[in-house]
Amino acid sequence: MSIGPALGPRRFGRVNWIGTAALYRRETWRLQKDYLDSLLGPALANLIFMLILTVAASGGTMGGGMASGSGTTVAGLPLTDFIAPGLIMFAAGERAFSAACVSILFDKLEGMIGDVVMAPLTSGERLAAFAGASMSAGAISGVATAAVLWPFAHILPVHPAAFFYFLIAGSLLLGFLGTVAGLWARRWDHYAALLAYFLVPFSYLSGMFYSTVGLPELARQLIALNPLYYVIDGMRYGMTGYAETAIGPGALLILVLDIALAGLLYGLLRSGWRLKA
Amino acid sequence: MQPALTLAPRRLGVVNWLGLRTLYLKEVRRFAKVFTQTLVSPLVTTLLFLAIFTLALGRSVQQVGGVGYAEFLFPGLVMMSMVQNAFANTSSSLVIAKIQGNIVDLLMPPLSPLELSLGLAGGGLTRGICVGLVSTLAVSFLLPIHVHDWFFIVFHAIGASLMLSLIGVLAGLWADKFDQMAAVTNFIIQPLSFLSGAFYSTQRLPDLWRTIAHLNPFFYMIDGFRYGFIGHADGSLLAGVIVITSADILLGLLLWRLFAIGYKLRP
Repeated sequence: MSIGPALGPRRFGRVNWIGTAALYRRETWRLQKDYLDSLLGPALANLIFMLILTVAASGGTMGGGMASGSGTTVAGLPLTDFIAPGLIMFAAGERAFSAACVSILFDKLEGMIGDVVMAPLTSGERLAAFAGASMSAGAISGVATAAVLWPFAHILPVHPAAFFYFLIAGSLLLGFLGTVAGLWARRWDHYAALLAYFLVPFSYLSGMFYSTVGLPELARQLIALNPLYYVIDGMRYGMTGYAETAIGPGALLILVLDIALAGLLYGLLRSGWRLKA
Repeated sequence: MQPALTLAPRRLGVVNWLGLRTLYLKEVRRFAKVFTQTLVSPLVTTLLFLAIFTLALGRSVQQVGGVGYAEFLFPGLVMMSMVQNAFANTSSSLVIAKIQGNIVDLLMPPLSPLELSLGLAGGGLTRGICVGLVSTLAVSFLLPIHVHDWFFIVFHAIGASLMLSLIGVLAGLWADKFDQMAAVTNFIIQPLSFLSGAFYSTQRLPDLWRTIAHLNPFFYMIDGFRYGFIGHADGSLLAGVIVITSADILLGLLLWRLFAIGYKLRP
């Protein structure tokens, strides 16, 4: 008759569920601790963005409230409704990217990356935990921004399924990119450079603030090469029912990109690229 | 016969010029070394803002303040970039020095409170001016830039960069953690600079909002600086010169006093 649990190494089956969940929780909590900077800061910045665009666009016809956006329309939508999806996606994407990148880079610089590399986790489990954490960070940030923009635009999605699909798939896309960036970077300078020269231009030049209808042909073609264009267009479809491109192929494209990046990242984690000596 | 070399402490006059110069050069080299982050990256941001606002609004907003929208917009963008960088330079320098412990390098040398204030503020001012020059130069390839009045361009560039550089030193003295610094940037500096009338003419705001907008010191920097280029001002130019001059003097005196009493620097 045995008394108490047997002492011995913990046994687990094919998947180390406890380990994966622990890594996910660690990555999520360390980010939510500084919620003031990570949630409210971007949400406030986006709100201000919306206000200044509305005021700047209103021409000489400032009649009503500052934020009503009355009069100015883009592609038949009130300006605020047109740009809100882009702002929400930008907040989510920026957060997902930074969360993933900062987390890995910080651990590498502080010498704590051993905690992740040494734990009995397979590459797939690490990938799942990292991706899950950055995706949740992005989605939470997106929803927080949506809540702040609530009084100024029609936030409630017309097609909730499309809205959430693109929010999650888009956050995942930027989360994967952020993880690759975190593995690649060796210094904080690298992270700052990635933000300034890659993420921000990539996000801003995605048809977030303006309709591509009526842009010069070259600009349209360049924007059409930006995957974020399809994410933002899909989000806009989810929120307003208006889309510039076909939603199905856009959704498929993002899915394919997510799977391809997951595959790449799996390979990188397996090989220990820039993680293991 | 060899002249005898006397070993003795270095003697300083009224001003420790060598020390002041060294502190200033340290502050300038600190940002010059990472110029891709401190000069090129603000430039990219300015160009991006110019592109997206012109793309988003250029078709619906034809004329603001008597000029095309892009020409109206660029002085405000350049000024925003200058002041944000002047602020970032001094605030980050102090906070990092405090956290890493090398703040003693500022406190131990024979530098008076005034010399400390001047050296630090001078570094931020220089970064602001450099960002402004680089950004204006880059924009000049894209837009025709006319100068209406050199005095207002130079005065506001220097006065505003100095002001935010001084505010940056104050914030750096006050903050103990990076989080606090980020909060000041996110919740004070950015909102004030974005709501300064850089993107729209405050003349078309409703009365109440116009009054509020004119209480924002950032409004005068941008308005006066823009006047120097396009010859049109939304507010009073004289008020702007007075606000900026007095803010610089008051902040400078406050800072001198804080260094003198060792606020948050000495136990």
